[in-house]
Parts: sequence; structure tokens; C-alpha cells
Amino acid sequence: MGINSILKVASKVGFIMSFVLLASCSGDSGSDAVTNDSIPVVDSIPKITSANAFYSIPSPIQLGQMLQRAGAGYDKSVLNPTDNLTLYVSQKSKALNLGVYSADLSYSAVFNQSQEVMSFLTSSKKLAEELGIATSFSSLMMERMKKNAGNRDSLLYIISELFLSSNEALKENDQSQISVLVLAGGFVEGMYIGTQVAKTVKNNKAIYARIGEFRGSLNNLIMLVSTVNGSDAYDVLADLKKIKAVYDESAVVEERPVTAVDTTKKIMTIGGKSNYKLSDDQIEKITEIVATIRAKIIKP
Amino acid sequence: MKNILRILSIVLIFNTASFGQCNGFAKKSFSKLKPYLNTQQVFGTVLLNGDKTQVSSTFYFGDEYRLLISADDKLGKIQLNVKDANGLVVYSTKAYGSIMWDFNVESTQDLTLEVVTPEAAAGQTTDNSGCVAIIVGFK
Repeated sequence: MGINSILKVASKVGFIMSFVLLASCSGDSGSDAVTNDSIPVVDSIPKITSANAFYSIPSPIQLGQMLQRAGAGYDKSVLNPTDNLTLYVSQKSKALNLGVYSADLSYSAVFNQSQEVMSFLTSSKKLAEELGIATSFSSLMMERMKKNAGNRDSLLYIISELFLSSNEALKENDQSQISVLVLAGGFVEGMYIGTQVAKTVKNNKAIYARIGEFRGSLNNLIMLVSTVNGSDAYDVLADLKKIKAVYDESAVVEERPVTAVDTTKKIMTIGGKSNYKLSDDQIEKITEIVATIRAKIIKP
Repeated sequence: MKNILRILSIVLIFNTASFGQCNGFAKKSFSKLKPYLNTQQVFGTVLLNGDKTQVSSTFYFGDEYRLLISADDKLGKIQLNVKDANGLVVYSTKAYGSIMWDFNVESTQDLTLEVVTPEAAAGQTTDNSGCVAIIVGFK
């Protein structure tokens, strides 16, 4: 084995150890600490062989826009009331609900509801401060939000910057597991809004088609959450797998994509066909399971 | 064995320090994303020559995407492979210093974006290492 090969292997092992260290440094304190430490040794090896494998999920703004384009309207009554803020005491609860409020904020911004945007922004700021990432919600950032309250495009841009910066701040503070829970809370809230709003829209086929297409993103979120150690993450993972089980009742039909490329302009169009259609029974079950999980998150 | 452990220790320190560095490295690319919105996730990692990293994502019909991939100059020119849900390559780019592609999908697809760094140049005794950052924007 040459020195280069040794270095490559060593680098991968280094990554594994780095992840284990980061996870153990940032894990929740409490009685489950021994359990947390004992599991990754076996469980993390297959995951970290891909220390360089990442999973992307749609942002809450993206989810909101997709629902809007599919014909969904704005319904404030399905969102998490800001009065619930006082219920969030544990780190897990704060993280998940920062995700929930980020989704409610994004959904409100997509539908240009400036009053609700500011209200959810204040709740998000409070949770972010309690999670130690107050710098993302600086007075300058809050001022920019207020100034652009009536300008949808600017608002969406600032919100995407804000939550990206929060996410990065958590990772830089060795709180990667918290950042994953924020993402999970946002995705569950996005699904909740979609499934609830669909019930109130007469022509809801396009909304349900979108919910069917969330399947791949749910799988990516499951992969993402499974890289996190700790009982908080296991609990969330178990809930997400309940939704996945319903999606898995039907198969996805995908044709091999064909790509058309303009190499001068560097524009790619990826063709192909896919069918993520859900049955009425699956839609009903997903709606119910998502509502149960979301209720557990907002009323811990 | 002692030497291997020594190498592992050095690499461990190097890698732990590199997480923060790569986050900062990724941020430098953000201005190029406009007018697309970021997806609120950035993927940054340290790679060696001849290494790869990947991002799995669902790309939704109706959304337009911009993909930005930046790599440390020390790594050389990087290549992007787009893989379908079965892991089959549907498109490979040429090797570039950094990559910026706009794309869309004709139907919602689960795709994997794989970034490959070049093998060490002839005569190079050890692999170079450097940050690689992948950012996806949408509108």
C-alpha cells in the first residue's frame, strides 16, 4: 500500500472520527448518553463510509412555492400559533419548532402576508436565541425584513439567507444534530400545510400530486436524520419512517432520464417520466400520520 | 503500526479543523446564485485528489435550478456526474475549475450530483487536499 493510499484511508477514518467527535461533543446531555455513545460504533460505519455523501431536501420557501403553484391558498388557521412558543423548553422541541415557524414564515411570505411574516419572524428569533444562534437574527437582518415587508421577492431572498445562516451557524457551533432537527421540523410543517390546505381546495389534484412527489425528499430527510446520533433524532426518525411506510405501499415508476445540454450556455434539461401518484387511501393515511406527528411537535 | 496511528492522528486534527474552513469556503460562492434562492443547505467537505463527494436530491418539475460547485485550486479541475435514481450516469461534464450550470427537469426526478476530483498529477508524491462546496439554488 503506497503512502497516497494510506493517506486516503486515513483521511476517511479521520472523517469518521471527526463525525463521531462532533456528534458526541454536541449530543444532548441526559440519561440516554450511554445509549447514544454505544450505538454509533456499529451503526455509523456504513453511513460514514460516505462521509462525503449529503442529502438535500427542499427549503420551506420551495415547499410553499410548490404548493402555491399547485393551486393551494393561504390558510392561517393551519399554522402553529405563536402563543405556543412558551411550550418549547427542550433543545429538541426548540429546534423542531424553529423549523415549524420557519415553514410558517416562508408560507406566509410566499403568499405575501406581511403581518404574519413579522409575527413568525419574532417567534423564530426567540427560538434561535435560545439555541445560541442569535447572530443570524441580527438587528440589521430584522430591519431589512421590516423594510422589505411589502416586497415579496426581496422578502423571500432575505428569509432564505436568514435560515441558511442559522443552519450554518448551528453546524459551526458543533450543533449539526440541532440543524437537522430544524430541517426536519420545517419539512414536516410543509407537508402538514400541504395536506391540510388540500382538504379545503376544490381542485386539489395538483396539490396531492406534489405531496406524492415529496416521497424522494422524505427519503433524503430520513437519510439525513439517520446520520444524527441521540434519542431525539431516533424519535424523529421513527416518525418519519411511519410516513415513508405509506409511500412505500406503491411503487414509483421512473423512466431513465435523457439529458439535453447546451454546453455553451451551460444549461441542462433532464428529461424522462416519473409517476409518484398516491391512492386516495394513501393520501388519507399520510394526512393523518403527518397531522399526528406535527401535533406531537407543536404540543410536546 | 505506530506510524499509521501517527498519520491517523494528524488526519483527524486536519479534518476536524477543515469542517469550519469548508463552510466559509462555500459562503464565498453565494453571490453567483442570484437570482436563484438558496435551498438553505450548503454541502462542503474536504477532498483529496482522486476522491468524490455527492448530493442526493429530488428535483421538482416546474422549478428551475442553479448548481454551483467550487473547489480549492490545489485539487485541480473537477468533474460533475449527474446520476439517476438507479445510480446510472445520465450526464458527465468536462473538467472545470468551478462549475455553474442551470438546469430543469421535465418530470420530478431523484438525482445524485457526484463531484469527482482529478487523480494526483504525474510526479506528485502525495495527494493534495482542499475544500469542495456544492450549492443548489432554485426559482
